[in-house]
Amino acid sequence: MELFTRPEKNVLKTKLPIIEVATDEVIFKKGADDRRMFLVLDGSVKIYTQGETKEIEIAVIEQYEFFGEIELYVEKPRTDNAKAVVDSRLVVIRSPSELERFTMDNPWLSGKMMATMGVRQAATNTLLAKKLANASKGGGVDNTASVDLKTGELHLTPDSNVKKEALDANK
Amino acid sequence: MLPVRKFKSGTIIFEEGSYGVMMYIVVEGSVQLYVVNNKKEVELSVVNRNDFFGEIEMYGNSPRGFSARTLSDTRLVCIKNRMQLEQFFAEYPAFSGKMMRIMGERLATTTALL
Repeated sequence: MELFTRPEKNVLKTKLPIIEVATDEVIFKKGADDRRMFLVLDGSVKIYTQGETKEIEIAVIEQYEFFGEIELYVEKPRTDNAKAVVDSRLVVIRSPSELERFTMDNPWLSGKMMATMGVRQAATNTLLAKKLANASKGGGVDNTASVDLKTGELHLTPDSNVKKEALDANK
Repeated sequence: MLPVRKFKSGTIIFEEGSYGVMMYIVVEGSVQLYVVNNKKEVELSVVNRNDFFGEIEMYGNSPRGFSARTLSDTRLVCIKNRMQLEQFFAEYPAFSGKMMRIMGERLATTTALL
């Protein structure tokens, strides 16, 4: 009789491309038209903006964390830069369906990925709520807009189109 | 196997502004998500079988952004923490793919509004 069971080894299952990036190698630059999402297989990656004299760090992405997921869904230029902190290997995810398949193939990893997505969503919701509140105060419009947390859609009553224009202007 | 709870039609699962970390997956029935605006209920969406709601509060310490009420007799898987969610993913990997896709779409949509 076995007293101890060996934990199941976490093995990454994927047919997606894996790229190697060297220390300080730039993965993408702000303004680039690049719709790939990356998952750090090993190593680490810095997300940063370029200040006048130095780089301003936004986040460091470690093993099994991901970055670049917004552009997977929305066609827009990169808002930040990304480069390798150390020699790293990255899984390249090129479409939402590839992300879906990758998640299904690696259930041991999907909890962590979902947590990252959830934390980012919670932070974005907070920012958006503040923005709506400010738009309401500054624009003098009534508070008739709400964000659908199920779909992320902004719901507006006819009177609050002014607010949508204010939001659009700030994009 | 995670517990499945039964709710009668018209049951309020949680209310806007309350604090709770439970996430729900609809096994059977449907749930209406709504907010109250100027004393009037505004429907945000209806969640049906195999869909989920209430996941954001599992990840962030914020009050519920909407209320949830059953529209028919409903059975829900109630997930109270990330460990249970991972357990559910291991049992139903197809659900993890769907959840990731929906969360990605939502994050992209809300980010675009900032």
